[in-house]
This record gives sequence, C-alpha cells and structure tokens, in this order.
Amino acid sequence: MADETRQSETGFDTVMVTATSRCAPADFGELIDRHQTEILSYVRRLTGNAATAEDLFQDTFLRAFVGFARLRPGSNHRAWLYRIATNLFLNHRRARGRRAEVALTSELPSRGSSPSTVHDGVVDRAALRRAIGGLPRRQRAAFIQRQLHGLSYRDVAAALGCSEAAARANVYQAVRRLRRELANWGTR
Amino acid sequence: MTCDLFVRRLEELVIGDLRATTVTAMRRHAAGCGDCGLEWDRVQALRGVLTQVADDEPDAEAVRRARVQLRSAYDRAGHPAVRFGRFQTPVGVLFVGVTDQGVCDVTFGQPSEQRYRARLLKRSPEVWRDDAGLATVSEELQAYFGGALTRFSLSVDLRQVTPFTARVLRETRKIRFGQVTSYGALAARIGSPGASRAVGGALGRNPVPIIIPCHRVIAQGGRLGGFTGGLLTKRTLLWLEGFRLPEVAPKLF
Repeated sequence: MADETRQSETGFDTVMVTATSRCAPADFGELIDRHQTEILSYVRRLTGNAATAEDLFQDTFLRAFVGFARLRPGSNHRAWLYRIATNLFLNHRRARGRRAEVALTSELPSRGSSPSTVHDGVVDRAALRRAIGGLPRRQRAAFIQRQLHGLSYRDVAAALGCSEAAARANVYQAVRRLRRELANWGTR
Repeated sequence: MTCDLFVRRLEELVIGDLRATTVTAMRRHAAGCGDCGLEWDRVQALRGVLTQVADDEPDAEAVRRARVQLRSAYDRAGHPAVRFGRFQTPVGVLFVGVTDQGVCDVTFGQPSEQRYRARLLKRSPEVWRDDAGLATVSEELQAYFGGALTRFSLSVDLRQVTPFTARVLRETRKIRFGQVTSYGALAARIGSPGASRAVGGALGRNPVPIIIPCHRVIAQGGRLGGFTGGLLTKRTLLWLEGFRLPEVAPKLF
C-alpha cells in the first residue's frame, strides 16, 4: 500500500500537474464544474461545519472569479483554488479566534459508530475526523490536502505558501499528532 | 531493521512516503517483533480509515445546493450568470445576453460566438448559449424589426453601469418609437442641463442598444451624432421606425 502511494507521488501526481496545465479549463464555469466537489469537500473537512464550509466555498469561488482573468496561462488551477480556500480558512480562523475550533469539528454526519479504540486495530471515522479537527490549522490543511485529496507536496507547498520541506514537515507533524491522539483515546 | 528505526519510520509509513524496500523491511521486522507488530497493525488500521474518510465526499445534493448558493453570491457581487442568443436582423447579427434580471447586453457586429462568449466571461463566471430560453427576446426583436412592436416589454439589467448612466438610459427608454430627441434635451430631462456631452458618453456606454433606444437621440441641427453599432445602423434603425431626416433617407438613385 505504501509503495503504491509512493509511486503516485512520483508518477501520477506529476502527470496530473502537467495535465491540469495542458488542458486548462476553457472558461471559469468549467473550472467550477471540475473542482466544486473536491473544494467543497476540502472546506468541509477543514472546518467540520457545513455552514462555515458553504461560506468558505462561496468566498473561494468569488475570489477565484476575480483572479481568474489575471491567471497566467499554464497555471495549476487546482493548486491555485486550494491556495485561495486555505488562505480564507486561515484568515477566517484568525479573525474568529482559536477557541471555537474544536467545538466545530464533529458536526458533519459520519457513518462510523464503532468505539474509538486503536488497541485492537480499530479506528472509527468519527474519531479520526475529531482528531483531524483538533490539529493546528496549517497542519490540518496540509494533512487534508496531502492525505485525503492526494495533492503533491509541490501543490501543498503552493497552497500553504511555504517550501516543499515545510509542507512535508506539516504533514509529518500532523500524522504524529494524530497517532498520539488516537492512541490516547484507545486507553481512555 | 531495529525497533528504534522502525518506530521512527511509522509516521512516514502512514503518509506513504517510504520506498517499497523500506516498507518490506518494516513488514519483516513487524512480523518477528511483538510490540512493533502491534504498531504495524495500528498504522494499517489508520491507513484503512484514512482511505474511507478520503472516499467520503459530499453527496450530489450538497454540491448542488452549494452551487445554487454560489450563483446567488455571484449575483450579489455583480457577476450574474449570463445566457445568450444569436439573432439575424436587418441590421446584421445581434448577440443578446440575459441575466435573471433581464437583458444585460446587446452587441452588433460581433464576428464570432466564441469571441462574444469570451467577452461575457470577463464579467460573468457562468455563460451559456440558450436560444430556447431567449424565445421572448427573439419574438420581440422580430416584431420590432417587422414594425409590429413599438415598445419592448423586456426588462433590462443595468447593474454594470454607473448610476448616472443608468439614469440617462432610463430616461432614454421613454423616447417613443419613431421620435427623436437631442443630447441637450435629454440632459435637461434628467435635471442636468448643460451635461449633453456627459449624456452622449452615457449613451455610448448603453449595454442594451435597440431595447433602450439610444439611436433616438441625435445631435442638434439634425446631425446623427454617434452610435456604437455604427452610424449606418443608427440611420437604418431610425429609417425602420419611419423617422425621416433629409440625410437619414437612403440614397435610392
């Protein structure tokens, strides 16, 4: 499993990046059609709250429309949308303060209901979602992009406005924290 | 592989960044070490749930709802969706764009649908051709050019022009079929006597010519003034409406 992902890191993602730049969306409507589901999914995962996510989704595509005309040909539209959404998310949270964060994370419906224990190899989805919601914002964004949306480190770096090394470090720290969190829940 | 090395690699194992050979070495080590075997299972379980969570996307209904809300957000921000049609008329091909509020654009002499589309896309995120949806526009244009319609009932969307231009255009709409007024008289009617140059400028920015009949505003002394669709078009429109100026009549002989 791990080696497959490794392969996708070097092979598939690279293909996708060039493919996005080669067949750029013909117009903005097509850009929305192509990315609306994943961006909605992304902001829902970031916020854990359907209403906040819808706001972020709207703001992302409003900004994207204004910026679209100025985008250079050959740009990576996908990473660019993630960057807008991520910036809005980081600023949004900054404006509201950090306190409300964890409370927001478990509102989205989840189908998993087994107890959150990892001792016997069982981690349920709700527990994982809660743990993701408890991650620091940048780590959360990097983790969701890389692990759940399959962005390359180059794209994660572009979306976060940091180096590829910093992008890797954020994902790494997020996983470290998640493993610790989930282990703790198991013993409680 | 040592336990120490194994444990240090667990995060990367979750992420999936390890080489296949490293993963194989870890699997071998885990098979022969109790504690590390447990860690291996935990990582695999976590990876399994991660895959499930990754596959759990918003359903079609949630996406549809978000898209509808997005459309109203674009509307509020002044970027409404535009549907358009292409019409053959006595003054050539007309492209007409319509928003949910009404006609927002009438363009003369556009060489291609593609270019017209591209122009609309500069101000609207969603643009599509919708001949069936513009049936009323088609009927009214046909009736107008056939001389059967003297007043368009179509509503117009003037959100993209300045308040001054909108005021000039609303007043222009009141000028009746077959009648003309001057830039100066129109300026006086909107309460800005002396602003005839500004009125001329505003008419030049009329996004919906024909429907808002800016061709019925002419210069003093019977000269035609200007027209975005070209003076020949202005002349023809006035001629179709039965308005006769000495120089308006086409030379027949």
